[in-house]
Amino acid sequence: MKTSTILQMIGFLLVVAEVAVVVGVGLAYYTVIQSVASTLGSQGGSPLAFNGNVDPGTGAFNGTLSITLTNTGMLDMAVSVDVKMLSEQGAQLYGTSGQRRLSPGSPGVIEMPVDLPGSIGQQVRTVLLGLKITTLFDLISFSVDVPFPTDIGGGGE
Amino acid sequence: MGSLLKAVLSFVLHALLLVVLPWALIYLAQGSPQIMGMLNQVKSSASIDLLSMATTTMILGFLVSLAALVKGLTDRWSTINLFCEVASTLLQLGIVLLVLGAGDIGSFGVISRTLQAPGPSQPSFTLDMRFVALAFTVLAGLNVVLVFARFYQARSERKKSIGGIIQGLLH
Repeated sequence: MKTSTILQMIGFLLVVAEVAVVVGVGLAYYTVIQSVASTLGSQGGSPLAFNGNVDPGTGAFNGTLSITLTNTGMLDMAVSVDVKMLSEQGAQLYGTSGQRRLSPGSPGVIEMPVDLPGSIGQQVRTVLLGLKITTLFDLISFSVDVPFPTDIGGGGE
Repeated sequence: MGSLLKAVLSFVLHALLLVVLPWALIYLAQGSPQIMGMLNQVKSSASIDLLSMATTTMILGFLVSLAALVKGLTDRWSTINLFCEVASTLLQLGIVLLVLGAGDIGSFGVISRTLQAPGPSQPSFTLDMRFVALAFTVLAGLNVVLVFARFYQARSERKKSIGGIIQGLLH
């Protein structure tokens, strides 16, 4: 085979690889944006729900925190949710997390156990909610951290 | 004539995509107070200056278009052609990294910002596209190697053809 033909073939393969990366990125963007939008927008209310009870005597929280997500994109995605409860100084008092892999078109619920003693609950000033979505064989990730100031510990004005 | 037409066509296509399109987007944005308001909000809250990104893309795009024109007008064995090919590849990589980093080429595909939102809650987000940045960098590197291989191959073919002409003249 002639050298020029081999070089032409390599050039063609490079173009194909570039197109493949662009298509992959497009699909990854579409998956992340669609899934975040459908999770936050279409369910009418908050995707977060807490099933459990609060002990009025001790102030302890016991139950399950759940987040409902739907993969409306075109690629598999892994979702991980991280909830941290922080003190006034920013120290982590309590944390819980959960993760789940969702295939395209499928909804899923991530459930995280919460067992927060009343003594800790009194000191909580901020709940930090972290959501991380990875897609395209876990090569592209989008994460968002939202702090919620709270008077869960009775410290609010 | 064929190579001139090819060179001009290549210049026009590159200029349309990398100069005229960003310019049109800037022009349309500046004509609409709503879009300008949105862009200013993105700039102030997430520190992403889309207008500046479009302007930088236009400048780099113009250089890419110019390189495409000169490349089309020169033979593959010439050093100018080699320089234009390499410059074009690196400038295009620059544009890709600029877009992936939301205006910051040095971030290598990682956009990490804390939103300046009113109120006590300041959400932050990170978009990690290092794989894409790495993939495009590796592909650009391979492309440069390919450009050098084509250059040396074209040079050796030219030497052979000149040698053949000289031998023909001598006999």
